[in-house]
Amino acid sequence: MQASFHLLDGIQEFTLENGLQVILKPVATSSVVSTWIFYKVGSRNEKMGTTGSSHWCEHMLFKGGGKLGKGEVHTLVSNEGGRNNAFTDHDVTAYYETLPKERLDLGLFIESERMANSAFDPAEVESERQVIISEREGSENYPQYQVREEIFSEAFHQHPYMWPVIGWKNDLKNMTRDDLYSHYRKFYHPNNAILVVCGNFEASSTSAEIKRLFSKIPAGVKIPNKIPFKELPQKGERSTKLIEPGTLNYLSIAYHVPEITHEDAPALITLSAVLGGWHGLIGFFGDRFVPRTNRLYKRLVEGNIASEVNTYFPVNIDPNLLYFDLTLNQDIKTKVAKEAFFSEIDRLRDVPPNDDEMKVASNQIRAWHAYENDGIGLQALSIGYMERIQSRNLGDSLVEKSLQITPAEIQRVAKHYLTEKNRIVGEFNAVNGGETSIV
Amino acid sequence: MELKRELFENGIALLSNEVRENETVAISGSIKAGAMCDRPGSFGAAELASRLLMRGTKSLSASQISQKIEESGATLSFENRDESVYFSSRCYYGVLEDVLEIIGDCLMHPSFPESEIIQARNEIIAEIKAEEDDTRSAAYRRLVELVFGRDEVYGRDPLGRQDELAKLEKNDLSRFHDENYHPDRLVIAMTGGYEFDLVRAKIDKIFSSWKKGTGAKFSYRESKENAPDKASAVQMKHKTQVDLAMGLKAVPRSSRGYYPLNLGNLVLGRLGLYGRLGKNVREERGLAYYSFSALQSKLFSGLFGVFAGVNPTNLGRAAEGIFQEVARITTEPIPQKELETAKRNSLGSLSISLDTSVERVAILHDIEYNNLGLDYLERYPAILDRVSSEEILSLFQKYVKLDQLSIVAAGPIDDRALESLLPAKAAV
Repeated sequence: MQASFHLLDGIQEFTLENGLQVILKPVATSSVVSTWIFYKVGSRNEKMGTTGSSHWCEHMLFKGGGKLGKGEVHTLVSNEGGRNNAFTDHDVTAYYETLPKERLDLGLFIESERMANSAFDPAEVESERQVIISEREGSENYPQYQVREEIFSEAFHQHPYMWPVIGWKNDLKNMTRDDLYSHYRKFYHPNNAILVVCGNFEASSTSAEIKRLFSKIPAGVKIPNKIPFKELPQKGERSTKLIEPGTLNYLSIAYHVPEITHEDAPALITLSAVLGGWHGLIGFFGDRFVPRTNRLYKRLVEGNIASEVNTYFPVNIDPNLLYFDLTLNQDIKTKVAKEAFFSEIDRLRDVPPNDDEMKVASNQIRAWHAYENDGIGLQALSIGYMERIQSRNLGDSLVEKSLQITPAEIQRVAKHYLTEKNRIVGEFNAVNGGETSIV
Repeated sequence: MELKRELFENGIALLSNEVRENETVAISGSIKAGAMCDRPGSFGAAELASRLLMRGTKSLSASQISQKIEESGATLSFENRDESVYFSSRCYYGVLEDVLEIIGDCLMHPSFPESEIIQARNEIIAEIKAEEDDTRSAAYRRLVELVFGRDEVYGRDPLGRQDELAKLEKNDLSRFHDENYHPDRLVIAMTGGYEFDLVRAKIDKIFSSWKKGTGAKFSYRESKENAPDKASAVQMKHKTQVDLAMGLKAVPRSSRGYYPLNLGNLVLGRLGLYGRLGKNVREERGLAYYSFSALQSKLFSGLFGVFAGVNPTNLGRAAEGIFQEVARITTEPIPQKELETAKRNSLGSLSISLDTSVERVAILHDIEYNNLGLDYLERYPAILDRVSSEEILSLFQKYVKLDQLSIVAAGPIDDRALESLLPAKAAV
């Protein structure tokens, strides 16, 4: 009765003369169509002084230009009952419109206008400055966010992964309209983008419409995929300690791991699942499911040290951090949590995962690959995101290889990467019970 | 979309949508045993009981349950809210029967082991502490206290109270379960690649021994302790941003006023980038990253709220923009074109939600939980079509009275800043 699902079945691909890469995935059973465009730009392509420019550009692409009025993207999509949004990450900036199948033209029109004609009106840049600072300040209210910023800036001394995607506050205060516009002009052009359309549409007429809308946009200067920053190996543990008002202590621990295309990535994926459970490769969309058979949960939550342990596995172009986030139980000191966490890491180096652990890890990785492709929008995201990182086959390939990993290989990568020398430790030590009073 | 419904002899309601080509299944369910069933002195029993459903049954230990779920690649979680305990699961079709057996075992036969009680209680207390230090949660929690009353179900935190949680023991939880976990309070919604008849037979087999309840009645008594038109500050001087929350009581989901109010809510603070509120406070004034409205209509009551996150220096101007928009929607009929957009959006977004199994099953659950009827999706266009601008205006005038709005600001705010909000409201 059930057909085995393959994300890449039925895909068609072509490249326009101006370099725009187009990937089409017609799905006749759907009633919607999702248009995504992935620009090969993120915080990785920024420089000190203009950190956050990619994310700010993303905001400005909702502010009109060409045939689009200010804020009109939202209105046009809303009028059709559609959904639209965008996100910026280390390696990519993506925009999407999911619409009833009859209105695919609208998504394509919006993205073609954005690519060519965004205005960056100076008054709108100023108005958006406060909005973005407000977005940042909202995050600053959370202790976990503060620790995360500290850890990344400790972990990277050269590579742009050191700063937050939203940018340093001082840069957000000082960046000019011209800084942003030149960032837009440098990175937003057809030969630095991937257009993905997924859903119920007819491929040949859609291809013709894409050619009509996008072919006239001139190609830009080719952007090399490599950036001129390579982080040197860390020579010893780095740590950061925040002492701030709050109600709970938090502990985050990160380890440098290689880029996702590295041969050790599948073993590290399985290691992550064994240590902290698995929530998929892209993991943008939350799920309340708490994996409980993993080693960190058993040691830290069942051991009444932490109320929550989250594991984040990086799917990035350059080497990044395998990141663990612990919310400690009331009155538990970070020192106690650190000791317990490190002893569990030591145990993984000494005691390989048993059959039960391997079975859980494999089946969770396989199942989440299916859950992550639930619906047209998520399928387009998976295809485009992986294509940006390396190739649209990357997700399938990583999952397939992860399922072949042996306990010995997990031990090997644990011994190699999860070392004291390779780690960064961030503590949030709460004082004064949060200093909250109600009037 | 074809829906099939089964009402079992013991009262369990099943709503299903088969999607034969799917290799996975999504389940969304609820049992009316949420915080509403907590009694004074034991606020938190519903939360603690819900967290222990997966932590041991009469036949399986906590670790055996987790192992069975996770080794099959499935997910399962339970979440207590004010009215009900919700559960959700995803799995491959091939393990569906095993997953249904585990859900049944967790709901019917939890054993509440002592060691698990300690652990779950610690988790809840940590969550309460995290909420206390979170401006967004703190503003929301204080707002619902003001609107509904501190001890009333919609006004109190479903997590419970720390001092009362500390006193709860195994016997209390067993008693709570006996009184409130009954099949006639259970709703199961499912979608995915299975055959309905097989699933119906399996559910019947798993749950048929569970008899209809004779315990506590699932009922609601409105409190008179609410304090509308009150301003309150949750002072957290160590924070960067202030979260503003304003609101008042609105209608339950079953009210005829729900659809007009919901369309008005879309216009005010949802459509596109947060509707009129987003346009005024974010787009035009550049004062906030988010500024939106929400209509939370539940079984017995509802909340109409407006929320924004702003820098403390922008608090007055942001509040002014919000008051202007709330005043406008309560005094001027929504122009026809704007209303048509809201209706088209409402219909279109429903169709897009149906494209993913997780959202589709949530809609199915909503249909059964709120007794909307098997033909709800077919009737929905006509329901919206009947709503007029005049009806929306009249309902906003009835329920969203600016002078009754309670206001909370949480974050680095002093008393003077709070006092400045009320004249701004009066000046509109």
